[in-house]
Amino acid sequence: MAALPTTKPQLERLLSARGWGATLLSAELTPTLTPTLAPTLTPKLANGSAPAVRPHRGLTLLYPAGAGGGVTSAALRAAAQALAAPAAVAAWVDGTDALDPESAARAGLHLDRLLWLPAAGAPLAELLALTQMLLAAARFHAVVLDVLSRPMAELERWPRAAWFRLLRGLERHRRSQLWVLAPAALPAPSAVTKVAV
Amino acid sequence: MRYLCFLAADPAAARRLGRAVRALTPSAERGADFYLLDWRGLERLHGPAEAVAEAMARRLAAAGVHVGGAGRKATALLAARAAAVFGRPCILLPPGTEAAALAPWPLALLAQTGDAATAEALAVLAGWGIRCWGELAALPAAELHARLGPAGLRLRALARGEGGPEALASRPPAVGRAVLRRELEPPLADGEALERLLARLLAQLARWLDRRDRLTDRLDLRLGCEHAPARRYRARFSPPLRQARAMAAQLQLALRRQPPPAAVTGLRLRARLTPPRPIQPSLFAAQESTAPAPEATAKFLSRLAARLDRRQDPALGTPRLVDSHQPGAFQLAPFQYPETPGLPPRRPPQSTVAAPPAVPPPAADQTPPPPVLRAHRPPLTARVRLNPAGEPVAVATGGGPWHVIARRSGPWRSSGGWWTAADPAAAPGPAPAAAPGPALAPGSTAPPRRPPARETTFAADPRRIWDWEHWDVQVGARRLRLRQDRRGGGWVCDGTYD
Repeated sequence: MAALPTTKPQLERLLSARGWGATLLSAELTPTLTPTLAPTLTPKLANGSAPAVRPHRGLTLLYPAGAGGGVTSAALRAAAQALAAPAAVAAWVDGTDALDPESAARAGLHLDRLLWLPAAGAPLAELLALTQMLLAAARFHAVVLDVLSRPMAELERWPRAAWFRLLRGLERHRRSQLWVLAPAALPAPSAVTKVAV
Repeated sequence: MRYLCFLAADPAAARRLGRAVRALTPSAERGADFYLLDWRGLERLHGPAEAVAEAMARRLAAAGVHVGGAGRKATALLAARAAAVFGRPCILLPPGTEAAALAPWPLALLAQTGDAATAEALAVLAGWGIRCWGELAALPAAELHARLGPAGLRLRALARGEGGPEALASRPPAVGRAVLRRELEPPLADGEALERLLARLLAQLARWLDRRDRLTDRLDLRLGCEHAPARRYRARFSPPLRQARAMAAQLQLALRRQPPPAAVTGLRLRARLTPPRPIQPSLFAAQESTAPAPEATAKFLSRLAARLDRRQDPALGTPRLVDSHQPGAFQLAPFQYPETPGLPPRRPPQSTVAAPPAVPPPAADQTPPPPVLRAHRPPLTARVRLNPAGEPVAVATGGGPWHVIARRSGPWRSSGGWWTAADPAAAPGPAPAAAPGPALAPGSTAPPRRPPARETTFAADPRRIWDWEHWDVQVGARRLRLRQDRRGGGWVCDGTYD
């Protein structure tokens, strides 16, 4: 007899494998797709949509499709695209202190309009709270939350409700874009557009 | 002679000089320690500038006042400073003689006067060994501009006696300080009472700033504690402000994060002053407030920093590349909102969004995108096997298994900082015995070396001595950036290309 799921991600994976995953989501959270802000980003959407689109709600989960990487490059390009507007500002919540300013500048990012929050020592809940504060401020054109190199054991404790809080934060002002950089195994509701890079 | 500059040696001299200058004209430009007079139109009242300058110099020499005169503002100021340095009461530079007179004078005369860009350019010139104005005047303009930008060209024009009369701003940035002190008897042990007292003091400071049309961008609070060392707090404001509530909110956050260890016996509040910056609001942005209120911005950044709960200062900010050849060198500067920040455009509500237009897939880029490094901070320790040619052939990072290197590129060697004495190992000769690891023989395994924690997290110190060799290697599908410290022999993995 197979072991019963003990954690919420395990339960969600089990439900998804049996085709019941959609029952957990309300119909109104189905993403509406609009043209992306990052034309150079050529993602393969996990839900089978055309490339070069982003969710209307402004929340995109970027995850690595293979071992080759490219997630950070994609996020930098997206942020650079958002900062192309005059006087636009962006925030980068760095859960692993992985941002390399030299690379960011090479990717076309205006460093002088980037608020960088190196937060490798902060727990996951703090990162989420920081991101929600940034979204609630509604002053940032793009917000990037980087938890790509965080231990999976910690990310498995990512509360599902946090996704909806982030979505609500985006929906309240409808001004910011949020890009989450995370491992492929991070479960996320279907309201979040998942992009394999 | 168009400009006269009167330089005061001390505050007492400045007061006396101020009275004398106001007797000449009410429209003198005032700097931190000097008065600058535009003599156009004053000849009819007081006579030639040369005569007045010499008379004033004779009259005020005993009080510590030196006089300079020239056809340009900055040159007049330089002449006054040179008079002070050379111990002469008055130096006048008639038109056409400025370049020749300036040539032997030290560049450092301008150090106390120019703006930040000028000070930076002077520091670079000092690093090149350019000490006097004549040497600067002889430098080629194009090369100077390529390295120092407009500030270099302005300095060169000044050295050659070229440019307009306003060639260099003579007014220093209007930065001052305001200090409030309170002795508390009996000592204050209640945190809330301390916060209320601070709020009152900050309201007083805000009124003072308002009367003088000044803002503050930094507050330093020093709390004297009973039977304990004094505790210091700092709050930064970007953009500068003078709202008492916003200032109090930031200091309260700092106090709650790190309360004083004992009853407070006294406090000193020091504000760094800045002039107000005029902002032109957008004519067509009346529908929505585009600029966040300064106090809200400062408070917001402070709340973010408090959330991060770092003891470092600053804990968040804007990464700024530094002028160094050191790979990965950067500094974390305070975040500044653009002066006319635009709010992000509002997306239409979901219900009104039509079907998305068909978006053709973007054309493939003709040029490959620049490589993006995903940094490891602190760097991962690495063990590296070398082939007889000294090239890495296998790598193990972070105590993991060995991986064969499929492709490699390098080495890129860089070194620097050896011209400074900041590093104790900077002395010529072999490195200290404790620092270096065993020499790497071809085919040997480099021993793991634990790098110092958070080595380059916030800023690579450009003054630090470094001697590195970098390799980009491909391990499976991953591409790593390896670094060998040639002074210590250890290998680390600086990051992964992502």
